[in-house]
Amino acid sequence: MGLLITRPEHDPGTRYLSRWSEKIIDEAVKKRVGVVDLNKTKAEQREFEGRVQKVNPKLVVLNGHGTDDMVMGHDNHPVVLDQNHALLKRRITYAVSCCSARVLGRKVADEESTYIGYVEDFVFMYDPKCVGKPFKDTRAARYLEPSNHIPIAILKGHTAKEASEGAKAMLKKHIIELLAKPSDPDTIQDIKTLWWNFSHQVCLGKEDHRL
Amino acid sequence: MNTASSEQEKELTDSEVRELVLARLSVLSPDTAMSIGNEGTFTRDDLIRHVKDGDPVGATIERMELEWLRAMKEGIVQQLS
Repeated sequence: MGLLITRPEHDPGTRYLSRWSEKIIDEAVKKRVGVVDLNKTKAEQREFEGRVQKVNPKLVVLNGHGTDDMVMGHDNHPVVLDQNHALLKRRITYAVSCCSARVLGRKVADEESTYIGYVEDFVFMYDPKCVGKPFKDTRAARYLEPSNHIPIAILKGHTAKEASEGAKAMLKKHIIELLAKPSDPDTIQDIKTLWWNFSHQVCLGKEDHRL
Repeated sequence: MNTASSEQEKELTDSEVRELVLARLSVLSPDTAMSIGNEGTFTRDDLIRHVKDGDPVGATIERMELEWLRAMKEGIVQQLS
């Protein structure tokens, strides 16, 4: 049992995801789960392939930009694509990556493998004043805490489906809270954006998969 | 955002959707920032420009608006509550 996580950091979006992913690593350490952290330039295809084969992690978290059939790493170099997608078989994968659940996720998912991800762009609002201290960004937290919930719940022993639905419940809670607030334009934009992620997050393959 | 706007959705043309999206973006606070996965990060003014240009970023913003309008039309607020 182990966690492999990719954390590219080459633009504001990936820097936010990378910093917020530290909470996932903290939880893994707390649970005494071994962690392979492919941060910055280590978030690349050869490093990924070598470490997966060597460590055989049960949980893989992929941060980075994506397309229908690929998840990228640092400087948008490919990490997982058609030619190496089989490395994700028999694991639980969570890809915080645009659109990759459309094709790549469907190739990975089967009765032994789980792929949680997005069939559209993963979108979040953030406060530019918090770029240097993303944990203080309460606006981004509405998006990134539910996202983090998925691997953290899996590390705590929940099934993939429970983790995915738990994240959706958190998104729903944020939407309801915002709907109850005075509807200033920024709040309405947040509601629409949270709904977007809620609608496009999917759990494919083995739903009762757990560590 | 209100029920009336969602009821009008079926009658909105592409250009009306764009006008609606631009109107809504224009009233966001100037320090709004959005990360759209593969596309990058955008300020409010960037978003307005992309919608006006009708490029992939602008198209994503328009779809986001339409999906929320559809959800409102289908009674999502009542379902969530």
